[in-house]
Amino acid sequence: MIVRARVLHPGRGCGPTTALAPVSFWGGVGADGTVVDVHHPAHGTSLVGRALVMETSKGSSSGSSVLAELITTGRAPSLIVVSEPDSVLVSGCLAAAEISGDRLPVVQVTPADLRRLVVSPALAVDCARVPIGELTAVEEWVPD
Amino acid sequence: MAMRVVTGVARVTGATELIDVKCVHIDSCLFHRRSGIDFVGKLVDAGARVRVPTTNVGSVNLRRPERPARSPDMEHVNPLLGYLVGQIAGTGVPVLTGLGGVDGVRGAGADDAGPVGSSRAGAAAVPTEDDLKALGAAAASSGGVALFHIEGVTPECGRLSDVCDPATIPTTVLTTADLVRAQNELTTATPHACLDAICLGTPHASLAQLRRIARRLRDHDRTPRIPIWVNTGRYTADALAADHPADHAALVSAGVRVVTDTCTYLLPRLHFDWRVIMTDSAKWAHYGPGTMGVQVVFASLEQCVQAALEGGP
Repeated sequence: MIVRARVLHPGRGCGPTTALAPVSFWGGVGADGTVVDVHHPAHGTSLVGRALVMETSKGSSSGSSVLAELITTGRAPSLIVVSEPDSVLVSGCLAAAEISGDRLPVVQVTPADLRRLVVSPALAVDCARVPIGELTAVEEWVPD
Repeated sequence: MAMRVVTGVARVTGATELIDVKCVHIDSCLFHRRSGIDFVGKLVDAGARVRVPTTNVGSVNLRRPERPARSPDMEHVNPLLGYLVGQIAGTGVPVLTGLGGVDGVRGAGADDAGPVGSSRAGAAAVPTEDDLKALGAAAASSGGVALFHIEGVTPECGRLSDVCDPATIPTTVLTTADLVRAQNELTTATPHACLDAICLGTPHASLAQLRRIARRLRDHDRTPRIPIWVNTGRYTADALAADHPADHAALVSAGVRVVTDTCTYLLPRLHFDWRVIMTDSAKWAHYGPGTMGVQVVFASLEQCVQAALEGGP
């Protein structure tokens, strides 16, 4: 399966899929990359190295700082697929890229495609050289 | 850098042009560990200035700041433990349990905070040589402890029963509440006090500790705003320069003052202008106020280096 996507932040990554209801990274995801929001259905789930699929993040705009910290400490998801143009996640990615050079890919797909991607066991994105706003693709990833 | 972030977010949201603004609120300036400081630090180091009236939200009340260093760093409990052990044991010979991964601190009377030995997932980390050095120096400062046993750690004390009759010796349980009390007793500085210097390496810093300081400084690649002083032995200082030139260079370029064969609190005439000192040593914290008339903030090595880089605790 290949799905067309719009680049929100360039990067390259692959990992097992984790479908998530909207989460606030600030207050909702701990420093170890685990969902710590006790009211969230995925409470206790680690997002480290995961292909995160969710409509959008929610809650505090300080989620950008939390995501930046996760990226620079190597505890971030490997890629993020959203169906809304999430500027909180992207500003965290932009800040992390400035201070550490680590680039977490974030792409936007249609709501229908988001529902299709959720059933893929693993996903891959390679848009390291694609500018923000341009088109790329999300592929089902088959580990070697 | 700032423009890359602005235009990046603009493209995500589908903006077609930028407009002039009269004022700005910068969001997400709460402290979320290092990346936030690094991000702002990079802007500051590049000479960035705001061009319009700007506000932000922070996690610290700048007019009445509380010091994070008031909370003990649970990776840095050995000096505090030593300080408490010295208070309790006086000139006696204390026997410590719960530090060697054998079992928890024993005895009755633990309060809600739980015993120290089980503060991290039921098993305390086995102390390193540097930990034991800090513990012993502190116990010999607050008390008169010349000898101590630690079950499962010091070689003569595999089991408690090797060195005493566990049924008859008086037992005290130390809890995290005790560590907080020790931290508060060792921190004598008033909340608004500005730091004049950071004093590390009491007792003399080992090669590993010198390298740890160097690594912390290299990680940040920024000149400390508060001077760092380190005591070490002359042979250790020589070994650092000879065998680890990169670490040595990091200390030199950060302006770290390496004092060999003595302690900074023994040099009062050199530092007549010192008022407030931050240290990772319970021994220094114990003696400094008396020998130098200074106020002290006790913190872990990491907190000390962080404070030096940031210009305050």
